[in-house]
Amino acid sequence: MIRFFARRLLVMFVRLVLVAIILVIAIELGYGVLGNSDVHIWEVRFSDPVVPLSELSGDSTWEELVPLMKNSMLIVGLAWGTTLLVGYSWGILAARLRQFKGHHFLLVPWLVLASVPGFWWVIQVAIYSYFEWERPGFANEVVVESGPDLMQWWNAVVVAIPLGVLGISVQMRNVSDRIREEAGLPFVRGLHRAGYSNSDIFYKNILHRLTGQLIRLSDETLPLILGGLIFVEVAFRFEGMGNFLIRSLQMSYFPGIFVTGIWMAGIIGLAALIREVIGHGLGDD
Amino acid sequence: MKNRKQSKASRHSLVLLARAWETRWVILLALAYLSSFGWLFTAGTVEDIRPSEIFITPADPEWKGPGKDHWFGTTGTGLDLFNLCRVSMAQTIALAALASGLGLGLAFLEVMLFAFDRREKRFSLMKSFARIGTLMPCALILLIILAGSGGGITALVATAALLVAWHIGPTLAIWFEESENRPDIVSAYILGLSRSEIVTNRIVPATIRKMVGVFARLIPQIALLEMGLSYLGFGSERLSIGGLVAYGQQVIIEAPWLAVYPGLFAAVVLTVMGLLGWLTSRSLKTGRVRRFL
Repeated sequence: MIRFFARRLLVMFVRLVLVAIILVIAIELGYGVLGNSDVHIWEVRFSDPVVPLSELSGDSTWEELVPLMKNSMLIVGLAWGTTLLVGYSWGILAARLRQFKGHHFLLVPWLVLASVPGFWWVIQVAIYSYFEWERPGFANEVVVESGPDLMQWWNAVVVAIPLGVLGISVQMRNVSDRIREEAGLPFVRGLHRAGYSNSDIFYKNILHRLTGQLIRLSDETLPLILGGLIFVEVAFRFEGMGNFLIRSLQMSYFPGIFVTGIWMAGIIGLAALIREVIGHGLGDD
Repeated sequence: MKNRKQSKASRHSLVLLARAWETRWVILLALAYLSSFGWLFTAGTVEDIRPSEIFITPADPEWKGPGKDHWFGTTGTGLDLFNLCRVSMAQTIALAALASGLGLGLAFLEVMLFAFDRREKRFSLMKSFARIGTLMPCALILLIILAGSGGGITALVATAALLVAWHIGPTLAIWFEESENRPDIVSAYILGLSRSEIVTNRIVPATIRKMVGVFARLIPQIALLEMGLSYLGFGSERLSIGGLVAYGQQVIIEAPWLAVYPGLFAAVVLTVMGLLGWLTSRSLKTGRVRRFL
């Protein structure tokens, strides 16, 4: 197990290095070549003041990035957790009911919700909250100075919902499609002929055989959630890494772009590592 | 006695009819998909107006709320918002179609570079490279950097196409590999047909058929992404739903409909296209394609 973990860790680091190289090339290509910028990526220093941060949190040192990371991690945790919980259960339910006509209608509501632009959705919530409930609208409209910061949770939930919906829509389709593929194999017909009940075939054979493969699907939605985070945080004026990335882009602050890219790739890599270790523990390589 | 042998023309038309009947669902769905395109592209004549002329609030704005004459209300310069939404959406969909078409074309070319190789693991290099892509958050950061830093619309389409090729390439490679295990392909090898004949005449047509399903599914995804980029101000100088929502957010107190209706319109259009794309891809038995955008 330790050898497997070390090997996968090494692979993750190699991939992260490649991501770093791709990011550096993209920044230089985007700003230096396409944007005709006079500053090149090799000329920037990480020791200079972090200008985009001074607008977001009032301080321009790298330490101020930690609260932003925590804020974004809360959203990612909420959205991804919901995605796993609802995506798996809904996908398995849709696959279980596959023999009934109209079982696709279980998947349709999530597909419809996932078509709603997330940035527009959070703006509507902010408007409604401000005009109808007479509560703060956007995330930067109130600062809780004493007592429990319940507004932070409300803001995180508003941002996490569109990301979670997108994640659930993709996750449940992946799970349902994978199970349906397996259910179409000849061994299932054989078990039917042998007199096994539908629920025995589904839970004790199909799902049992697919455990490893279903675990493999667990982190597929994470890149989507992290990508969506960028738009939704900006739209809701939420102080997080997505907002920091966009400020860095607008100010041509290369270290900010680079750090955010590596932070996101690191989260995805870590989730993949955990998934691989769990899969290995269950005997699925 | 009448000659009962069918003419060549009637035999061909019968075969065509039989094929059309087999693929009736795909044809119907494709027609519905194209009709929605047609409806968007037959919008009014405001497409020549630049966003800088629309996204301004004059000292004496001419805006009107939603009503019988203007379903979605009007902008500060008196333009019909519903018509603007249709034009914007048509441009977004056109860009999305261009990017997904180019991307799929590139992915196909990429696969064909390796397809004639006789080794068993001919696609392994391509698959390894694609795995790095899964670490980039939907590879979106690359798109944002290249489109937002000054590349504009060309960079947006080119990067989106490259990302499609990067991520879809391995899926096409898997289809190729799966096709090679089909009984008819194995039989063709046994009968002595060359690899080039088998790939060109048997495997490629089946792969292209499935690519139509991927194309239909990609368009709403890329359109959603383009709207997001326009909302952030990276959409260059052209109309987009994202830009309309961003403008509406600035005048939310005076004209709230400007922030509400464009997003609603986009959600409805994308839902219809998403559902049609999903059904088309199911009818063509495209199978699972990893979503990366």
